[in-house]
Amino acid sequence: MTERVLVVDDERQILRALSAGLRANNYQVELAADGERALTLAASNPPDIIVLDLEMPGPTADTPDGLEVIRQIREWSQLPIIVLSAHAEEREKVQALDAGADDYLTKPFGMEELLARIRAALRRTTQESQADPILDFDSLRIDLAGHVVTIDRAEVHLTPTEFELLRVLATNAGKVMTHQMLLTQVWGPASEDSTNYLRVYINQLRRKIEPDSARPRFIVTDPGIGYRFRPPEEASGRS
Amino acid sequence: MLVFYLVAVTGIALVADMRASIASAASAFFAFNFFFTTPYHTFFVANTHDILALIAFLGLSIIISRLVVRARERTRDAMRRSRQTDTLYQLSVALIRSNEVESVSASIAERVQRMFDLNRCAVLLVEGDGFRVGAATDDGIDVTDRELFSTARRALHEREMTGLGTRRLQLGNGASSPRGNETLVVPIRTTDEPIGVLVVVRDYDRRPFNDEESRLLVTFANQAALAIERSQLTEQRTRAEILSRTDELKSALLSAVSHDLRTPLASIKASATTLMQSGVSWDEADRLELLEAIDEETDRLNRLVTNLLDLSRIEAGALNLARDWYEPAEVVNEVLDRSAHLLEGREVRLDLPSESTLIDIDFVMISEVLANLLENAVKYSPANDEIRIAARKLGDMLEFRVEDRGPGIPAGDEERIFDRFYRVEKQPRSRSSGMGLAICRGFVEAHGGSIAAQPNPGGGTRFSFTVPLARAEAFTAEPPAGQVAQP
Repeated sequence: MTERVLVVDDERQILRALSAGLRANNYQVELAADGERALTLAASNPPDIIVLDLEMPGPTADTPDGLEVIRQIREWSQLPIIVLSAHAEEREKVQALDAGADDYLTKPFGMEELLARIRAALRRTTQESQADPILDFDSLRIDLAGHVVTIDRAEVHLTPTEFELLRVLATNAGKVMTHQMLLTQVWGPASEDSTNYLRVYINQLRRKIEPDSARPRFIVTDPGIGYRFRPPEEASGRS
Repeated sequence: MLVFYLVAVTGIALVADMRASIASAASAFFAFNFFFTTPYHTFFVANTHDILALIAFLGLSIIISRLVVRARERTRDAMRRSRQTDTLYQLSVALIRSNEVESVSASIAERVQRMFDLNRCAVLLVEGDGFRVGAATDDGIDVTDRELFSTARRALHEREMTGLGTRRLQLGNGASSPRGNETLVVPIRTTDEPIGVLVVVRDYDRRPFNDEESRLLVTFANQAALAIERSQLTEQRTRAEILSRTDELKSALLSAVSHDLRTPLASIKASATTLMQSGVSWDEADRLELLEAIDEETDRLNRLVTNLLDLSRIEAGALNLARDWYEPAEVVNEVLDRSAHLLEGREVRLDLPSESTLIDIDFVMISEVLANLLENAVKYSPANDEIRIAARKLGDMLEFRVEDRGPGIPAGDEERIFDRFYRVEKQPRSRSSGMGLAICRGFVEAHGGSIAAQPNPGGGTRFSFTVPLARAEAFTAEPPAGQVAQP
């Protein structure tokens, strides 16, 4: 079955390039030049994934901007959304991720990179349905029910906070988790501004589970945005 | 007896003025005649030698008193002159110290007020057709007052101190002395240039201005003219320098944009149009080469645009730091990952602190700095030579070092390489735009750190820069709020 990608961008050249590239890679492509059209298309015939430009004009009453499109779609669907942004500013990406986007790419990007992100996002949606109490990542094994973490079968002692942090990261493997997401999910909604504590705990966690904490392979920093747990199968693909 | 009278006359001359001294000499003459010459108790003088003595006595008294009074006046004059010289000296010292027109004017107004015991003093400066207040000892001077304005114009035009009608300028707090006040407007001008006027206001109750004070005021005004002119010239020169520097930046930017942006555009256009040629069948290798050229050149364009934006943000002082805590290793890893294609398997020796260290940085900026320095090291050193990245604590800063074994930076260029659009002369014409190191310096300085280049002790170049460590007390603290959510 070919997956359907909805590409939303107000730049005609980008739509043209992405549509050709995706079709050549056996995706079925639908195009929308503004947020309004995107919402209509997504609602009438939900795609498998949305690639969405964040810098569309708007928002006004009838042309929602990228961020607004994410919010409206998240009201009824969890379908994966990858946002595109030409700005180097991290704040905008963090906003989009916090609003529910799954991943981001900074323009200009290569086609390979986009394809990799789409594959990863689609894979996560199929994995999410099967809730497995034991997560296995090569040498690292996390028993969610038993609260046990082992590396090469040797148990690693984690504090409750460290375990919780690892659990949130690993169950969202491959997905960027913003500082805010991690803080609210691990420490509760009151801790949103304490990113520095998060760093201290990430630091400790890395020392315990990374084979080389100076060159982490599991917990990767997304500068200015957050962290992502990199499953081993992605580690070779992304460098 | 005669001597006693002479002493008395001298004594009077010492404290009184000329007229009183001569009067005392005359009365001493008559008293001597009355009491001590025969016949006694008359003004009649019988002996001729007594007459001679009396006349001699009178002459002597007058001469002594005149001499004494004159000497006294001279001393007083000398003292006053020395006081004036002293004040003038202090004024010129104060004026030389300040370079801005405003502070020079303030210094004049304040000193003149103190020196002349004024109620108010102001320096008005010529501006366009009117005046503006350069400095005033209180804010009661109204430059739009028509009489003040026309008096100031007249004083400047006629180069003469001019009085302004009494009671025209209210004293501070609106209270006017019953007898009004005296206002003098003294022109401040060089031989060719009208600069402004000195406005001095004094209550009649204190004392009216005398000739001496008026002369001194003119002297002050002349000093002021020189000082204000000097500071005006300095300000003009500074403005001109800033303008020419901005101009320089603009033209450098223009040439950078036109050359550095056009070059990649030209190769992209050439490659794309080549591929589009109809009726040519490219073999796979050629096609790939053209496509790779397009890909690489877009990357280069992207980097250039980013650099230009960064540089203009630095120039405008508009850098927004998104600061957070990071481990030095996180920065180094990101940079090594990003530069993997550049390194082509080249070994980079790492020497990072073993203990837990956190730095308080904008990650994107600092990794940009490190990537830039690493790229430089790769570019300017032989392919098999070692590159070393080290970090160590230095007080409350962390110092990063990037060391290579290349030819090093020509002596004397260590500072200038951080100037924008500066390219090291002896290097072969590189693809560098001369922006990278300027951006590095801008980013590091925005963090309160410093960046430097120096010869590497083992040969080559050592770049080092510092960034602040995260505040240590927060390291061991507990999470601030909320309980750990139980799974």
